Amino acid sequence: MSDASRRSKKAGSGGAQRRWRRWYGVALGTCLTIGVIGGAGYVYWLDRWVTREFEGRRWSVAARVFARPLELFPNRQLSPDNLERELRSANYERVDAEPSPGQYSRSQQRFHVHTRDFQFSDGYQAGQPLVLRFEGDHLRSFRHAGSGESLTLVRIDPAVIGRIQPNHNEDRELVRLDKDVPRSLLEALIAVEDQGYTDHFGVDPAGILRAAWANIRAGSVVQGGSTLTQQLVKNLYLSNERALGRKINEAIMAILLDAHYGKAPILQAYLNEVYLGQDGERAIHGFGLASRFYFGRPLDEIALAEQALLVALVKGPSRYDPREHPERARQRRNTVLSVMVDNGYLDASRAREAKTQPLGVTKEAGDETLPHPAFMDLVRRHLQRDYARQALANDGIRVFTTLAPHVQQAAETALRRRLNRWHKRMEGAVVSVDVDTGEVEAIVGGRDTRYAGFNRALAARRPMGSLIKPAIYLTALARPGQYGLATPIEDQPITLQDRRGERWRPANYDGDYLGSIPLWRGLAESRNAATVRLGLDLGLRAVVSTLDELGGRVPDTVYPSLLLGAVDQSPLGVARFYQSLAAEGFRTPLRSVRAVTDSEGDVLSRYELELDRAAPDRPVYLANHALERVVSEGTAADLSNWIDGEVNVAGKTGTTNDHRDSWFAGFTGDRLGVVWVGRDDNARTGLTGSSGAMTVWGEMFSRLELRPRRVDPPAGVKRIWVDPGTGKRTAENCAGAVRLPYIDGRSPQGRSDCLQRNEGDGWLQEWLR
Amino acid sequence: MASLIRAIVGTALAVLILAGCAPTKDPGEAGIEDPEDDARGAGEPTEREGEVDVSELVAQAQAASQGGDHQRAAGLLERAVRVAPREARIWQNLAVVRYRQGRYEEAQTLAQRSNRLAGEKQALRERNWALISAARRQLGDEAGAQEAEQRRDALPTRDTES
Repeated sequence: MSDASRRSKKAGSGGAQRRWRRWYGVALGTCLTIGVIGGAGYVYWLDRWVTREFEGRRWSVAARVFARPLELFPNRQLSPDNLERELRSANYERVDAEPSPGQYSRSQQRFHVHTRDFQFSDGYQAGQPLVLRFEGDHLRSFRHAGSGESLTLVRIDPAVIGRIQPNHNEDRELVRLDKDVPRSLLEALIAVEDQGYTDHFGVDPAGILRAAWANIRAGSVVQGGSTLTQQLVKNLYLSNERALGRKINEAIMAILLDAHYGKAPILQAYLNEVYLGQDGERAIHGFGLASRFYFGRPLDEIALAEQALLVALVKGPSRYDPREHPERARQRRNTVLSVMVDNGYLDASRAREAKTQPLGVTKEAGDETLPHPAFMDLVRRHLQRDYARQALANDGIRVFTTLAPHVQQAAETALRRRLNRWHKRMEGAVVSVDVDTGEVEAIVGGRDTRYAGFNRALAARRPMGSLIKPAIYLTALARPGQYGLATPIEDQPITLQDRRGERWRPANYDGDYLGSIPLWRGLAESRNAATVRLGLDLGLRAVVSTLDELGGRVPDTVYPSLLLGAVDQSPLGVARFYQSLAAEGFRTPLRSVRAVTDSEGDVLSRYELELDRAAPDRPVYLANHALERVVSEGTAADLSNWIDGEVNVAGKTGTTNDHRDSWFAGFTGDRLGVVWVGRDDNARTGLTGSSGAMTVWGEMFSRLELRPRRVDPPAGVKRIWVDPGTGKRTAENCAGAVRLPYIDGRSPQGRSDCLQRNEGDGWLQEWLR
Repeated sequence: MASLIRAIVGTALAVLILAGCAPTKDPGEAGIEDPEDDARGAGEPTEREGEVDVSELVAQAQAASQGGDHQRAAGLLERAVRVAPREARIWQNLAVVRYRQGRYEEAQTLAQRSNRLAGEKQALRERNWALISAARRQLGDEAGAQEAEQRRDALPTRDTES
């Protein structure tokens, strides 16, 4: 019999109390049961939440945009300085010792380069040590530094030229625990943040005591009591409030996480999640991006002292910001190194040595500046056709573009240097395109190349002026029965009605009229009157059709003033038009993106080389010959101050009314450049095409490798001697004779007096001999 | 019906062209060929300056194309074009891939581009004209196809490669 019943007996008639007690017991039991069930339910719910979030987590990673990779092969034309520019833009570090991945050394004409592993859009390429030897502007030999084996074709991992930002401004570069993270960095992290990490179960009671003791000894907070797991839970799931309830949740969730996933996945998640800095509005998360952000190099390339600095930042990225508070950051870094020694991860001498190192942070935020706003503008426009902004920003996709860093640098430097000689409000734009593939290699949108504002290369539409003239001459040359390069045309004043019905008299630039001139001189010397007469003879409609086929912009209504370029065109539009000429009549849509892959390297889209016939090859060859004469003897003859005549540059100058726009478009064997110089307020510049834009072109191309234009004619074209005065066939030794290409069976009918005499002389001389 | 027959004949012809036009090679290695072949076979002078060995890329492209992955093949050949844009054979290989993809217009244009760069390499030009002819036939341009064949037949007879 229980005490209670004895007492109740003692109490006699205490029935009510007994009932109360029974009820109390039941209630307590029920409460406990509900509590246990509820608690278990709560933990279960937390568990579901924790696992769902952890497994379904999609890291927010900005899209990375890459330059084109530099291709290396023996005998490649490339100057050592331009190789070095390419390496620097890809964040290669110059060293004196044997280079590790991401480093190079140079002694004059000899380079050692250790490339990095890289996932290209068409496959993976492992990093390798290379030895390169130059002779002048040629890469003469090219070997694997280890095996000495001669190599045929290797790509250098490309520069990061930009990123497309997630909407919520959180960015990271994912690292893999087993591949990308130096062991010493993990040791530093564990030593400082969570010494019991490998043994505890998510929370670490001993660690809390240890941290407290260490902090008391140091007289300040040198260690935290939270485990890495708790810190991760806090970052992933919880708000920042300091409340006991939250602490309890954090502990339960940390234990659950530890039980479910174990040490390695949690550590990897931590390495990618932890907040380590701020770049304007963009939050820098994870050690991978932090390494780029502070040192400009990937995590597996940074030295011990730099690793310690990153670990130091965990405690307070803004308080220890090495760019803002270098001394504070240095002290904290050295504390990290000392703690590593205390924990046996590092011997004292190495720590001492590391402590003497400078912080090593880059002045500007590593790859994270956006050095090519104008080019990125084009890339964005290109991608918007296929990708929603959301998809672009959130999935860590990789965009492989066509930007050639050393070409871009040459264009920027040339434009800046030339503009500085002129009025301070003078502006300019440059577009550079690979002739054969239509790939855009460089874009400069204005004087301030880092300013992401008005992009003149794409958005400034200006009258193209004389740059339109090749369309007229090509229209003529496509009628070989009527026109050849030496066909006489009339450079005489002409009066027309303009679009308002007023009299319009197109004048020559120099005010002179030469009378009858051979067709090629009309283009080479950019004779306005002769060109307008020719265009009217051909018919505006025919000229417009040629313009259209070459990819030029055709206005809605056509007036004779079109013949002198009264049609607005952006520098990129002009490049489209000239690309068709440069590629001998094969039109290729201009491209700025080669491929887009997901973060794993699987191709999402590929933008292919497409080819289309814009004009038949023989007339284009003749027109290009006239454009070559623009440079060898015409309005662009001064280009010889920059470029050797052997390159056979073909090009055209353009100057619009009252010197408001100065243009030059020109091409070598493999590269087309279009330059515009003018003012945003459309004021007069005082520059012609040749004194303005052409000098920018010359300065730019003189910094680049020049591939001569091929001049061998296509099948069915022969070069013959012509008398420029009469347009008749003549002989090489006749005065003024010019050698011009003609389509077979279409050469001039008449024979010059000199030729007839010559033939007679030849007979006489032979007879006399 | 007539168009069906034409399509079948055209396809059969194209297969023959693509498979058997290089007498020195195993006809099984259809279409995509090593750019060095012409230089070796015909003993023609080649400019060594700036010339690139793209044989590995071409071999990879060939494997991809034979495996049916024309996209990848085209991507590899484009890379070859970028490093060696004056190599007529690569443009031809790209034309073959486009032909296999049923992109006959482009195949024709690429073969013409190859022709412009082929210089005196007669074997290469013959194959280009054959390809152009087959592409035109696929596009229903019988007259154009015959014209291309005439152009091919009008080429100077070449030295035997074997």
